[in-house]
Amino acid sequence: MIEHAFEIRLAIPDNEAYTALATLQRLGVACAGIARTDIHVFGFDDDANTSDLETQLKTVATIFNPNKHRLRAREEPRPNAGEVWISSADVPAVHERVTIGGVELRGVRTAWRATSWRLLDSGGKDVPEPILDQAVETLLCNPAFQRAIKP
Amino acid sequence: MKPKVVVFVFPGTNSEDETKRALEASGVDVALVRSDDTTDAAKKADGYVLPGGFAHEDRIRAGAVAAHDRAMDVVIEAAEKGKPVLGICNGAQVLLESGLVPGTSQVRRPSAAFAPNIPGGRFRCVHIYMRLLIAPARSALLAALPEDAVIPAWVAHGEGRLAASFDELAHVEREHLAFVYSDANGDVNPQAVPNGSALGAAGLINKAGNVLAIMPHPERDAWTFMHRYDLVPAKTAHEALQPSGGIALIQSFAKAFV
Repeated sequence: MIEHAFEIRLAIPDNEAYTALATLQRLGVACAGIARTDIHVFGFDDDANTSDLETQLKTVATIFNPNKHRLRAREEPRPNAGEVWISSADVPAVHERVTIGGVELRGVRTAWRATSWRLLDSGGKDVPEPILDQAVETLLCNPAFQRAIKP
Repeated sequence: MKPKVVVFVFPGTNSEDETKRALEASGVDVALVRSDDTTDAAKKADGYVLPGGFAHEDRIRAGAVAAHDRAMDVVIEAAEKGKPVLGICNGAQVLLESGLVPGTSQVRRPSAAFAPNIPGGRFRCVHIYMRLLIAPARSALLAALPEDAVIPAWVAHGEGRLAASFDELAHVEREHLAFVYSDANGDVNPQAVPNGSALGAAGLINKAGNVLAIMPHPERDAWTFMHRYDLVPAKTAHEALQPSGGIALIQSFAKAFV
């Protein structure tokens, strides 16, 4: 099975990220900014043709609105440095067909999603890893049903 | 003098009015208090209710932000003093996120959650029944209910599936499982569970028995006109305004102060 990841980020102000930032600051987590992105990871059979997946995703109105979202493929199906993905702890099931928002994604056998978080300092740089860990433990992840995926 | 109960209203709460009406009909004085109001009046209440809705728009995840609100400082302190606390639907999610229920972890370090429904995280709005699984005497909030009481209510949530580690679920099943979904006769079966909840859980209680978190809305089945009309068609306005089964749970909560 091969996996491809896509990020869908808001091109308009992100109120949820703002709420998270305000809450984290109130909890004493040392950060000045925050970036949140939806991540969608799709699994394919090794010999599947995946070339038109991005085009297909742009037709799924429940996850992508061209007026307010930007979609791009990630180079790797894992977080970059300075980033953490919060996802369901459930192992994604393998299906014959995967449908999202009523659109069947050709060749896709597994699908799972995560929320990517990056915390920024006052200079716009990623905060040190212990601070990101603190944010994960205090607010971003409930380990009862979620997992935090780090680079 | 009637007991005083504060119903906290978070940004996004939407069930405070029907909760207030059901509580007042059960004999308590109710104050709706904003979640950023932690004045003495809020702190001196005899008990607290966290109603349903979408506190802080369920941002990050249901109940996560509200669990850190200043109102929860008040609720946590009150719960530790033994005051009655009831969380309904979103209020139940907040109680689990705050760690008050089941109460097996540190405060604000949740050990369980009401997670997205199975299948597919779909929002479910259906009429259900939940059966009391513990002895009523285990909790002052439930002491006025008969053993094996079956409470009608409505569920309306996308995140009501109890989730936790296997060890935690085993512990919850032994000590904290207050209500499970059932049919109208109280029979527990998988078909009665609307959301894939582990253990068929509809409600959990803390060890001390003074904090109850329930996902279904009993206050939305408090009078006959709110019940499933196909089951109990009211023939007159008088009949429609008679108490329905859901009010029994609210009345039992109200009697915890006597």
